[in-house]
Amino acid sequence: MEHVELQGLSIVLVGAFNPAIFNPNWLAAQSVIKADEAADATVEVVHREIAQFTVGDLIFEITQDKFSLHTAAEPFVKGADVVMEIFGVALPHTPINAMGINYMAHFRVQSRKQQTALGRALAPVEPWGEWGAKVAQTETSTGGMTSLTMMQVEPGDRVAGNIAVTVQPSHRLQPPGTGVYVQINDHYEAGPDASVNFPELCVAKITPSLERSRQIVDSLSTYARSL
Amino acid sequence: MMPTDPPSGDVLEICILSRGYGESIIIKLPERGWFIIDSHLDDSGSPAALSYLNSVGCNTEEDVQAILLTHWHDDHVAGAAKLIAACPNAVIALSGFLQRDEFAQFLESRGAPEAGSFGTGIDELEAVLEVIAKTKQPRKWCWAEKNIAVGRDGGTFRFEALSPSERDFEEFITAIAQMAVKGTRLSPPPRNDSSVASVFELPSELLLFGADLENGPKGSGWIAVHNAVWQARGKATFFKVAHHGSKGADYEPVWVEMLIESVMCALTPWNRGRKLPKQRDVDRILGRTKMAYAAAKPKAAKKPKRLNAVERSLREANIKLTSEDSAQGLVRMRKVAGGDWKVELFGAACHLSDVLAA
Amino acid sequence: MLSTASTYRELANARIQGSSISNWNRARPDVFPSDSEVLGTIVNNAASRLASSERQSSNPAKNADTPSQVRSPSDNDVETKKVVEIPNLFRARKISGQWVNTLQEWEGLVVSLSSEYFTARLRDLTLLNQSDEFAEIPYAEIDPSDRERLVEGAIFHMIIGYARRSGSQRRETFFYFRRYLPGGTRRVQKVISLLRELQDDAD
Repeated sequence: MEHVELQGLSIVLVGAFNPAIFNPNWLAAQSVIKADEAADATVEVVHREIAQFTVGDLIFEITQDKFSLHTAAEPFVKGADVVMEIFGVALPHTPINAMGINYMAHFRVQSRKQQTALGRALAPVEPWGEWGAKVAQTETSTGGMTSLTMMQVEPGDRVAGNIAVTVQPSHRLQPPGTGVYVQINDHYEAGPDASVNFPELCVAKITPSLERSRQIVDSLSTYARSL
Repeated sequence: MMPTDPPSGDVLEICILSRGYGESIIIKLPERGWFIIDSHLDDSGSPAALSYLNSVGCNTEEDVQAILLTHWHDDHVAGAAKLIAACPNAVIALSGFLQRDEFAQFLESRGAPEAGSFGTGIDELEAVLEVIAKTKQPRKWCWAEKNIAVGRDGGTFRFEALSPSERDFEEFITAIAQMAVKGTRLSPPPRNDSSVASVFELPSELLLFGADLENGPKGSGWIAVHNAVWQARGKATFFKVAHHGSKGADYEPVWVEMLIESVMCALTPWNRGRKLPKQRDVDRILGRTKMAYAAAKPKAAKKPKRLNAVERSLREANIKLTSEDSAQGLVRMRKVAGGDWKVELFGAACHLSDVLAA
Repeated sequence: MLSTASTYRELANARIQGSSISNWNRARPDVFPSDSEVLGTIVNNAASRLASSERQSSNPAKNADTPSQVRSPSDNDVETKKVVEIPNLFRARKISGQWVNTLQEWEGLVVSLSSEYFTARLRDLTLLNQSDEFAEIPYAEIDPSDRERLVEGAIFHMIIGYARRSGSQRRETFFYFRRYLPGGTRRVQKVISLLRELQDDAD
């Protein structure tokens, strides 16, 4: 992970929520956060259709059908404990029917040439015929892959869901052309007949999900640097 | 590391396997089958006892007669379910503590949360019970003086549990009542009161296996075994030293009255924290017999190479890391009736005088 | 005419659609990656349209009670169609939090407590296929607010990485003690049930 320069985590729940009740003071009353954290929180909006606020390193965004928790700061596993405290303890009857544990990272490569080589390895231009050759051959800039997504459709460790990994050139790392962006969407669903305790699932899966995501990033980073 | 030569029919064989954390014992009786005490995983992730039996060509499906799991510490039961599944004709012997209502009540009140990669603390127990329920293998819930296996042809051998006693159970209940709070991973009790020490009685040999049984108040531990259970059996010619040679499991009357002079003995090390055996334990045992061996050394294997920044952080925080693994080893002892022990050392196994050598 | 409720819904939908992969990869180094200036423009335009349309039909007396600042609207707003200005909603947000590059992470199980340190079993979450390790960790490394969680059987994460705060970067070691572990009630019941099923010795 030594070449990762930016990273972040989002936990997203799909279900039925009441955004109006979510605010820092409520979270403090439920002991999800401390009172002084609530006092220092930044509230954008709290309404029955949408709530958005920041507490420390956690950004909460809630609509009537989606709850999202974002952070760019370790420890990422804390997000799962927050989800459990809210939906496992304070609001255990909240209907939730899907969950995503999403990890994002930007890692550094040594040059634009190496960045391009990775893109070519993941998405070769040869199958694209004459046009592919044109994509590859430009005088002033380099064309090619701008985004690629791979999906594992039956991970085997969940009732239903998938794991999708998207790779793009990084637009965040400078100078341009020296970074790669990877996003891993680890998606869990309840399935048609099964009921799933998503807060418990979040607590159980956060560590293996992060471990798998980092290994994917590490694998891509190591491969890119070998090119 | 594993030898491939099986014992010939008239040979008594005892194998002690370890890798610094973990213990497995295999006994082959002359003209009879195989017996296993405890289970741990070898470098390949397989039960070490199974790896040895396969290596010497044992037909585990038919020839393993009994498996004793002395107590539910991770280092004595890792891989037990897989081992039992490979030995469908074996009697499975477990501590009688597991059948007591107090144990069930403790589990229910304490709970066994899933602690990530560390499991629940009862994963192997669950897996073992599932296998036994499926295969319908015979089982024995062991208390002191319970027969685990007896020679069917006129009782020419007896494999018997020497512990635990009721007093051991009282100590166990007291210990688990004080264990950590609910919501944490279930930890093993701090003592080994449930441990099943055992004896093989043969026409010309007594073999004593100490498991992790320790000393305790009167009526428990080795005092109970010596005072109430051993009685007039005679003196054992082999002793698997209890609890990695620790002082807390050493009871002088055992050595004086239950073991022959210069008894053949072996132990397994403990490579975590306050490692065992310590030098004083080694000196004490060697003062009683020179025929003492260790199945492995408590010296930890090398740590993986990490980034310099990581190593610096660990040093700055004064955090000490050691690998859980030590090199694995096997002590194999063979003898024919009336003969002397022949000892072979494989892998990291050594004479006890070398166990703490670098 | 847009109602406040439908506008919030539109804003929320725009927000959800905007919260796509590309938002984490936008070239705004001071911005939390889930926002975008373009999205902010879209939703602010929608809010402006709402404000404009509602001013035309709203009750001036009630409007006078509504300050032009961000507030949490009440349910009454929907019925009375009060104007709620949301000038800062979805605008790029600068967070004070730290971007941390994780160099090494372990999951740990507290095994015992000594006088000056605790011992733990560690599983390496960074290097593949490593054996578990055994650690002695001084209490001084643990935040006082976490001391009550430091008990046998507790699960924690030990993380070494680079933290960035206010433009400077430094190497740090974090400890986080898990608050929750998944239940395991079913496992306990299953074990107890199996023990009862197998309770008799079989000869």
